[in-house]
Amino acid sequence: MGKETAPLVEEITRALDTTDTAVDQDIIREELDRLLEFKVPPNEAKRSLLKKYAAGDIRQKKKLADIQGGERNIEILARILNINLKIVNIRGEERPIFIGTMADETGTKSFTSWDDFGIKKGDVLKITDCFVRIWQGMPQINFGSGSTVEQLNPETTDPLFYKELNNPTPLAELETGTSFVHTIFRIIEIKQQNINTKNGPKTIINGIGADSSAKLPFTSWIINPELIINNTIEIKNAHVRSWQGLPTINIDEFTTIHRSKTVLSAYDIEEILDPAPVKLNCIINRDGAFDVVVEGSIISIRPGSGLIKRCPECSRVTRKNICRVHGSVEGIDDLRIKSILDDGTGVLTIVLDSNLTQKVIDHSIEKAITIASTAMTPSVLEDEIKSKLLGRTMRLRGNMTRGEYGITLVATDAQLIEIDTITQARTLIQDIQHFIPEEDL
Amino acid sequence: MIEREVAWRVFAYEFNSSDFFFHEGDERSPNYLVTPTGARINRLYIVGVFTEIDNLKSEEDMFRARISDPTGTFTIYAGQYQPEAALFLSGVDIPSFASVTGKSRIYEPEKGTVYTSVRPEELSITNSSIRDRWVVDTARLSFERIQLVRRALDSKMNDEDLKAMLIQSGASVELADGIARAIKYYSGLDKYLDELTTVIINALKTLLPEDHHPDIGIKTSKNVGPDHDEIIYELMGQLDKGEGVRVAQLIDESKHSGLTEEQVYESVKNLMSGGKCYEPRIGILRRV
Repeated sequence: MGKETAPLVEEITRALDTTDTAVDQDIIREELDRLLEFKVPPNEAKRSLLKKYAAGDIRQKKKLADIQGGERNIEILARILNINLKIVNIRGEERPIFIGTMADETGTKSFTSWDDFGIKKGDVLKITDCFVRIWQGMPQINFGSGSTVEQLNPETTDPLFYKELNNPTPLAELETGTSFVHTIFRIIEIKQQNINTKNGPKTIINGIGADSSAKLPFTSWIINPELIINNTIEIKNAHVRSWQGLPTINIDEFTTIHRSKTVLSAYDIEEILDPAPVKLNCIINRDGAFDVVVEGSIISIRPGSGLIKRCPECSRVTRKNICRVHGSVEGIDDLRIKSILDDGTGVLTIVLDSNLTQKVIDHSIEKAITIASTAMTPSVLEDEIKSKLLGRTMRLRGNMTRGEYGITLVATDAQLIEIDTITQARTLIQDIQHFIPEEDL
Repeated sequence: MIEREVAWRVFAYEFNSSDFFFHEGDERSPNYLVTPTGARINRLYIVGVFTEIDNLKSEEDMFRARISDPTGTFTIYAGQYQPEAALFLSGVDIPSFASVTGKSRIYEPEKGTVYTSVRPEELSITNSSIRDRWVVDTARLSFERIQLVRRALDSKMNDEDLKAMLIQSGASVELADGIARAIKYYSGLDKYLDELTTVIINALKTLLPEDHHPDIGIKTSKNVGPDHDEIIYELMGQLDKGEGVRVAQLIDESKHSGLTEEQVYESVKNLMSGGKCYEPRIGILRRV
């Protein structure tokens, strides 16, 4: 037995060493053997001993890119990119919490601090005894009264600020949570916005960048003369975080902005500005896609499509004129379609608002209300949507996001597509025969 | 969050020549049927023609339906756990165009004998233009898979390298995995892909106007050409006075066109599998 347990004993001893708990190896070996005699699986035996001697979970140092939901007692070394105060209501009690984004050399993550540690933007911190929970589908760092927060000297932690960056990344490959982003894009939309921050009003710049691979929104927390429309800029040490479900490039004090030597002309980004439909498998593995065009079959209409009522206060969908938040209300009529779009390579949920629903089912909302009241039931609209759309091919434009309810595209435009199947069949036959060697014909 | 499985587009011909079913992970993880072109099917989407619906009534109501595409027939089973589908099937006219979203199933009564079927999730009545569109989409996607499998066979690569190459070539993660499994499991793929290509071309040709079949070499191993099928199809239409045509009558009438009994049976078989005719009662034929 000794041979088998030796590596395990060593593993346990090493793990315990990191916690200032010194335990004699012989004791560990003895207890481990005993557990194994009881036919406890080795992994469980290890866990049992660690728990016994470490008086709790083992603290682990983690990089932001590696954290996973449910982890506890982890130690993080990171720089605060931004932090904001938020008042939340916990069991009837108003309580301030702090939310923001932090970065290390592996990535960026959002965080929630449940206590006031006096953290400021730009601080470099060692935070111990954090835990990780999944928030809106992404792991998020949490810490509070049980955690310790230690300020480090920013000058000794250079790697947390800048990184030597080589090749720029195309926009389509940028993922939420990436830090030290190096990319080149042309600014196709830009506007200033005044917002209120913890430290008073501030002007930020919102815009949209494009290269030949994709379009992405960006936010700059600083003012820079290169940030003007139609400029091609090269940025380094920016980071990408999720904003309203979409990856968004964030530019801050630590980002360098230059006018790019390679200029992206309007011609270079032409296909991105007026996009052709992409196959669903090309986008559904991204964590969000901004302004894309997709095409597929409507293979299912989901419940909640058709005529619905919304709360006049918060626009939530009401049931029997009861809003989940505002109680009994007089709901406002609205039309929408939720359905499954599938092109054989991928699948997502699509949502059409009232205008687009009216367009694709060719009824005004007034007509829909009349139809529903004549039939004495609003579900008649859902049936009509089914009979008009099920199996049809639809082309949609909009933003794709990934959330709790799966992958969703909220349409900004939608249309039913008719094709000439005879021509298509003929073309396809020719295409296929093109690949068949002569002698086989 | 569990992501929804994509609904694959495969022709009945390919679905029915698949016999590789696998399941990995715990009992909640999905089952997959891997087809020779690497479609890794948990869910599929079919648009075709209902040609037969039976209530098997063993213990509970159990409906078996046959739905034809231009290459063959899918078998659908709906029982007590698919009450909506069973209710739907109990009221469907034959023939009618229909779409089915469902899960792939297999039945293996003995080693080496595999029957594929579909357990329906959503069924609806549709029309010929949606069916035609499905045929075009399915043909295109099937042909794309054929080309990727050929590329995989040529590359002599395996597993992770192969998958990376396929994804680079435009395959989805699921398809790349399916192809890597398919080329390990199925033998004689080269020949099968040739056959499937011919089947796809023939399926597309059913969409072209009758008098306008471009003369492109279709190889049929059978001795009956498509022209025989057309004669029988025409006859069937002429003889049908509303209640279908007796097979014996069809054989008699076909003699005038110089067709033998065997040739008639062969053509009827082709027409049935092409979804052009069906047998409402034994010995009676009818055009769809």
